[in-house]
Amino acid sequence: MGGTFYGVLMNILKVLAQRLSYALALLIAVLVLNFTMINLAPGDVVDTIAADMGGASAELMEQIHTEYGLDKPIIVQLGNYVWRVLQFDLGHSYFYNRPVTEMIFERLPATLLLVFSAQIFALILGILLGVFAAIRPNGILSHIVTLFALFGYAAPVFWTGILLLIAFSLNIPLFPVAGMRDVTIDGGFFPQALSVAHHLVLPMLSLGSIFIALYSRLCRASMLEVLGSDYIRTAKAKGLSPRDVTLKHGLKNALPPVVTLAGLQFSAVISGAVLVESVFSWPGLGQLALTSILARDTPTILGILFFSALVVIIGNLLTDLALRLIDPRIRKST
Amino acid sequence: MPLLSVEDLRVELATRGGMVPVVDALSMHVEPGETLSIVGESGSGKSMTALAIMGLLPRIGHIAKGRIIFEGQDLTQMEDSALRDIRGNQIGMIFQEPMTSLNPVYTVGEQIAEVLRRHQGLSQTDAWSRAVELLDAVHIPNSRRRAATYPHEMSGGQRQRVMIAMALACQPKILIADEPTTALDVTVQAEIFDLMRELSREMQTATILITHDMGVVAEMADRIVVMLKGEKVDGGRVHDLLQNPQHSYTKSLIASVPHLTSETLDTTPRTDEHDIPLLRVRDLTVQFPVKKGFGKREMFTAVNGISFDIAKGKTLALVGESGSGKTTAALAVARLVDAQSGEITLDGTDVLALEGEALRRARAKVQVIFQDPYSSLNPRLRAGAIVSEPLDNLGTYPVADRPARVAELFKQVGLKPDQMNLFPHQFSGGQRQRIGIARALATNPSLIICDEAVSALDVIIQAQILDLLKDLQRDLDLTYLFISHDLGVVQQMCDDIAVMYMGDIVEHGTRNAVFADPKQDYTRRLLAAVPSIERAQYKLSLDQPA
Repeated sequence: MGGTFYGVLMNILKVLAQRLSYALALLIAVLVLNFTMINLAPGDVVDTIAADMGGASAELMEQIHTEYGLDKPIIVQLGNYVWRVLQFDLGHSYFYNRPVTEMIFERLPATLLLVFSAQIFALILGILLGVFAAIRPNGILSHIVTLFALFGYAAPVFWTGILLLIAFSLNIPLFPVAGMRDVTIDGGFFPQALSVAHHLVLPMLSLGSIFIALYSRLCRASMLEVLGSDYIRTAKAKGLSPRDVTLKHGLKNALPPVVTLAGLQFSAVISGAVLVESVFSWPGLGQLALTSILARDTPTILGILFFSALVVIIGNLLTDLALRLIDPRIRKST
Repeated sequence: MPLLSVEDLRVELATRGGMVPVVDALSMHVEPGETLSIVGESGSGKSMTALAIMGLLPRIGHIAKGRIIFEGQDLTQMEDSALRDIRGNQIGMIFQEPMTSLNPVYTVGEQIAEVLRRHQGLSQTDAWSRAVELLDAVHIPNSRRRAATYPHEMSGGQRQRVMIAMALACQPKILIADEPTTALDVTVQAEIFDLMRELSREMQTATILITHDMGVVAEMADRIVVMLKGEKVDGGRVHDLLQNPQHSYTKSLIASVPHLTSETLDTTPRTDEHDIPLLRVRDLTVQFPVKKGFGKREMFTAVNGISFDIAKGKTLALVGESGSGKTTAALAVARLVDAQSGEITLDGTDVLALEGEALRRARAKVQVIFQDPYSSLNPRLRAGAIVSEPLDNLGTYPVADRPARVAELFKQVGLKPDQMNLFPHQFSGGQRQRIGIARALATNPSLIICDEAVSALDVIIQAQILDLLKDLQRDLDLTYLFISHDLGVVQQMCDDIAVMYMGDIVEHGTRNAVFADPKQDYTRRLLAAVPSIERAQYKLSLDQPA
């Protein structure tokens, strides 16, 4: 296999087919696991309904149990659940009294927007900082990156979020601190999108901050190693400009570890999003997850877990493909 | 006027102990079209000189004094951007490690085309087709298709050809080659040198060839500069210098070149008291599974039914190029890789039948000395602990006697017992290899496998370690299975030779028989590829009119 466009494309299609079949198996495993774990926890939705009604008789609770199919053996419940999910039916929320799929699709775009923008923002800024820090390993910027990385690791994401919230609501009212769009804005797609982008800034910053720290630190280390390698000396011996040596020959080789880490961190970004959404009242899955956990709304929780798993799997798939685009040696090893 | 002249050059490196000169008071010059060789051992400053000329000194290094004049301009005073216009354009460079000197994520065609776009302003497509032509010029078959492949899809020799194509792409006036063949097999080395000669003649490029091998110098260079500890100790026309070396260091360098002729061989028979084979190998086959596409598996035969004996107290050399199976065969004897079939008998024991605890105890009888003294010693362990470890692992040697045994081993390999408390990085390469030898001796093995045990060492250190191995063999009645690609080393060490090629032993005999009268074509080619002073002088005498 060579470096032709066709060769690369075929390789990627092949890998895609292979990975998709893994992904399906993984999803089913996630379903079973989620269902089992939720059912191991004491109490169910009937308790919550009863509590909401201010108490209920044993007969009534029995009746609700039968109504929701909760009286059947657990293995039958699991079988039914998996079968329905495979038909894209995530069930009905007892608590919201709405189809779970409908609720999730309503909120999924907001979460996807937050997760992907935070991830991309963190990657771009992290890589830039890492590269600049690596060019002068003993320079001021390098020390700042190291310090910032330490801070980013240490600070919990909700704390960063609350700090930003306080700062921007009280002192510098540049960015909105709650919600996803300004309801007073009418008009076409463009002003709406602008409003969403405006609201996105703070959640994205606070969610991205930990990961910028992580990526810049790793990128710095990876660049430092790459810049010391023989092929960088070759590139210099060719008379290439410092920019070409660093970016074209250096960065492309330094990227794989950073991209791999970004893929592994997808799940961390999603769980971080739950907190950030609560802090900034971002109408995404995170908020929904929080309320449905408190309400023991099993179908909704399972649905959210399922979609989170889906996002993580897609994220890892993208990582895998990105690595293949970057490094021909990985393409060879399938 | 010389093309390049270096005047009173001093290069310093910043270390914890302050500025340390690595090149000092060096003057030399290169005439258009000629080949100048800089010779010296590692740390002599020869590579630093090359990097100083290129303006590529490491961050911690700088030129403290002196001038480097190239076509009337002083390179040391030049702006970096002006220097970049010369680098890769007027002065090209190739490096020692073809495996790591090419960028793994770009095709070789792109890496050559890049130079042409940078210096000759060629368009994307023109640069690519010129790159294909250059691959043709360095004799890469199927150049059009191969231009689109990545470095990891090529062999070491091919990668070095790509490096040459890249360095010569802009027809530079000077090509600097820093140990270009040290990492390559001897027959590949000969091909690369042929290619360099051919192209530099065609393009009238002057060459600065950096090497540690006087045989290479004799075959390649017009003039020579000998460096020792950063300073030039000898220099002149190669022909004169070989006849009449001035400095004792030059003399020892010349003496270290192997003389592969029967007259120079030491033919005194060695003691023949014990002729019972200590190691007996019959029909040894080693195969590895290789993945071929999705789910398909194939067996690769690394060692293909070979047989040999080694008598007690003797040395058998397994000779061959990389990939010939020599190391695999030896590792199978040590039970470090699994053999598919065959028989191995050591001192009457069926080695392949050993299992579990019996195998573990039997490991004491076969020990290995590895190639790289830098990576084969655990950097976190003290030297004494490294040598004592086989005794600790085996557990049969009395604990109280171990320190004394380690001290004795240190003395045997020429180290001081009080060096036991130092860490590996505090030793030189030669000393580290002595630690490796002490470790191998610790369990009183009956067979020692030397896997390219001196290949990573400088020629003069190499000679010292070989002497040590020979002394130990005589004193302790050791038996060696000696793996090497270096026929010069083999000639000094062994009693018998087995030449391996693609998993088979193609020639097997006593040292004198193989060197003086090789039966196989492959052996002859291997011998002919070794650079030799006599042959170079013989060729020279043919060129000169009587």
